[in-house]
Amino acid sequence: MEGDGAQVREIGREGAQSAPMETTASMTRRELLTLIGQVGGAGAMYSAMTSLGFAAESTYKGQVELKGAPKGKSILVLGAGLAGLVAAYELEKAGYKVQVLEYNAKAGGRCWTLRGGDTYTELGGAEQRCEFDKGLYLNPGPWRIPYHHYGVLDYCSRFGVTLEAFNQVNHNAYLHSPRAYGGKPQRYRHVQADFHGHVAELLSKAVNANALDGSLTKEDREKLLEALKSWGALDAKHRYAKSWGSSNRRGFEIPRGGGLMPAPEPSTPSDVGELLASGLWRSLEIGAELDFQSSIFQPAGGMDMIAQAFQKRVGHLIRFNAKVTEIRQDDSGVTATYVDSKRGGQAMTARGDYCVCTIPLSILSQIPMNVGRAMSEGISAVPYAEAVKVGLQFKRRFWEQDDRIYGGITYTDLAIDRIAYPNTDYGKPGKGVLLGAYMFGPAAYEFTSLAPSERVKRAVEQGAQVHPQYKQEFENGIAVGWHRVPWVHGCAGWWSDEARRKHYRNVCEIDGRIVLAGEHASLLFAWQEGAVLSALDAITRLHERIVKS
Amino acid sequence: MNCIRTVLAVLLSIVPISGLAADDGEHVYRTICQSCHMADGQGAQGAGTYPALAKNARLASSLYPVQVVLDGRSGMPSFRQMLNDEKVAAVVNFVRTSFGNSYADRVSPEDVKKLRGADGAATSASAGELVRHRLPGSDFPILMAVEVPAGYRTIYLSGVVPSVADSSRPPSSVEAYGDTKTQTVSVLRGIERNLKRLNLSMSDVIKMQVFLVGDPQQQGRMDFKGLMAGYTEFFGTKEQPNLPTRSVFQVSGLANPGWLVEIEVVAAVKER
Repeated sequence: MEGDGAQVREIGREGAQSAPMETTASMTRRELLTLIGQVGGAGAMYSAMTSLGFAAESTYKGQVELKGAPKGKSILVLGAGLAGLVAAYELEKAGYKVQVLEYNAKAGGRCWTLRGGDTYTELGGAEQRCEFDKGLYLNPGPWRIPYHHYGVLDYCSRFGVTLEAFNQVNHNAYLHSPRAYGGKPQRYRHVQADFHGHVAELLSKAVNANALDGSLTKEDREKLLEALKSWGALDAKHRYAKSWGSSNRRGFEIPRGGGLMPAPEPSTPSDVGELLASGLWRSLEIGAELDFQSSIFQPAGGMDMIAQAFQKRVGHLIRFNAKVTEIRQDDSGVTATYVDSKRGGQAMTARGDYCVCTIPLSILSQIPMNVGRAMSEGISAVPYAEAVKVGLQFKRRFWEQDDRIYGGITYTDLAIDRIAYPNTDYGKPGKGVLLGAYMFGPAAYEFTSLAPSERVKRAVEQGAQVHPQYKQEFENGIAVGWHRVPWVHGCAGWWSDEARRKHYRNVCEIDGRIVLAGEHASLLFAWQEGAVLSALDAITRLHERIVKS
Repeated sequence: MNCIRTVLAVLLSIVPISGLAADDGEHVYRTICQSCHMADGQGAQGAGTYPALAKNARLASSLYPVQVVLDGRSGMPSFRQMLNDEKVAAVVNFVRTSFGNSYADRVSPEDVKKLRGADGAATSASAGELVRHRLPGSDFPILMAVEVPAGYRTIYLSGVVPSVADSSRPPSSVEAYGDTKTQTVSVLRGIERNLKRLNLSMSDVIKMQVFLVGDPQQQGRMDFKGLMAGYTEFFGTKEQPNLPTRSVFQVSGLANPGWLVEIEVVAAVKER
């Protein structure tokens, strides 16, 4: 979920592959931006991008105030995920009579948290019981909220959902590949400091060898050398070497102590060739991506605190366990036919003057609905992406006690892709729950194909290559393959460029009395903010149309 | 999004995943397809459905599953970048001979290559498009043939007859309904309305049969020119360039002596 790390990691990979390797006489704009990014940090890059017209502000315009709902008008909302909840909440506030149909037994959709005592039955019938201790949880879907997701943050603030910091970048977490450094995990700070240091040294050499004279004035070159020295923690001779300065980035061999403790000893940087060959640098810039930059948050206690806050406000409008089987509009309204998803039995109907349909396209494409060809073709043009998450409970928080990793993420080339540590209750004795796998691509299909217990078993086996403590400390786990989640059939709507060009607008336009909303009707792939913005936009347009007609 | 898609494609093609090394069809099934279609090929039912592959009549056509694997279908992703021709052929052959299916004909990697497109590049985002074959060496506005691949619904419409054009004339006279062109336009408008009721349009028409009564003004022969004049207002226009296959017959009479034209059409539209 959440346009996530696996994909962002690959952006890094691709960027690395396509970056020009030869020294060119003139600098392209992209190279300049890369340089600004490296020297000035992401902040400098962002402001440079804004001035060059690359980056845009959020499209969130603040709370919607829908006024003048015609008396007695009703709106049927299909789906009580975040988009449906936002629509129901705002439309009722505007004075509409709102009714919501939801397939699940609770609100939230993909905004979902698994806690001890929960049972989860996936498609195909495998049932898992979450055995986590009290207070421990897994967010199988979205788990972070970036600072620029104003829509989600605004609802959290209005509804009193407590936010805490999500550690995206932890300098003391690991980067790991079974094919690098003998399979021994490396500290992020080592890889980052050494990568920056070596690059700074090499670039300094190029400057001093007059290789960049075509692009830079003498004054530029002096400034650049100064900047590289500071950015890469180089010594006076512009070398990246074992020194107090480099150890201030990567850490000391013998750390600084008190009293008569041993004298500090700087550490030795890793070899540049081995570092480049390791590929570990691929994961360095994930936290620099706009979607993962600081500050980034999580709701205290689990992502579904947001869903619960909405349910408290609009729960009375929701008919749960309602599986929609047909949607028909006519001259005066929209009728949804549904059956009870738990008990089955007679088909029932719900009707509204208008309909906000937030059913994921993976499911909506199978529901007969009389909308025009344009929308109907768009609904069928969006496949749903794969993703897997595995939560693991351990007897103790060994990552803190032994490895000194407090929150954040370790990335690995193993199929599990990463290990994410809880960003709360630091230093607390007792048990803890890790995110033991979060993958996309072929590995996600393979894991989804396995029985849940086998997914957990493999996550433990692989994770033990990073944390040998796994073997001793593992207690229980739960695994969610998103293609097996009964209420979505996938993680998120994965638009191809071609489909986006041909169909996106048609999916978002109002068709008669029906408008679609949800993450799939947004440009924020797999982010909750997409659901919120899409819902706000859809209901604003629908309301305008109703008031006019 | 753009970069996400591109890079995921890169990821899928470059990162070696242990499970996908084998070309064995069952192996491909067990590590990919099974995640939705399940171990026994029975599919699943949630808010939506994953179709069962066991005893699925659509597998009778060997090329249909190839197309679906390559290009996806609605919520199902495309696997053209994750699986090479050998693996697609292998998994399709596995599915067509497992779960109670026992189709004798096999798909070859060459078959897959053909469907993938000559350069192996991603083409359409969806399974098999309808193919309209123009008349070779002619711009006459009908098709030589049309191909409807699996994944399309076919809709047969009854013949449509003209509406009264001039109610001042005797109701069973040709004068009441007008000449062949007037009647053709009236009939095609009627067809257009019927299609619309079915959420279809003229552009979905793939086949047409035209029944013409001899025109008294033309020594009892059909007024083919009149038919064409009306027909070309609906087919092969800038707004509606699609053409159908078509046959035209002269009949000795229709149900009402005033009618000179009856037309029936067949339409095809991609399934949702």
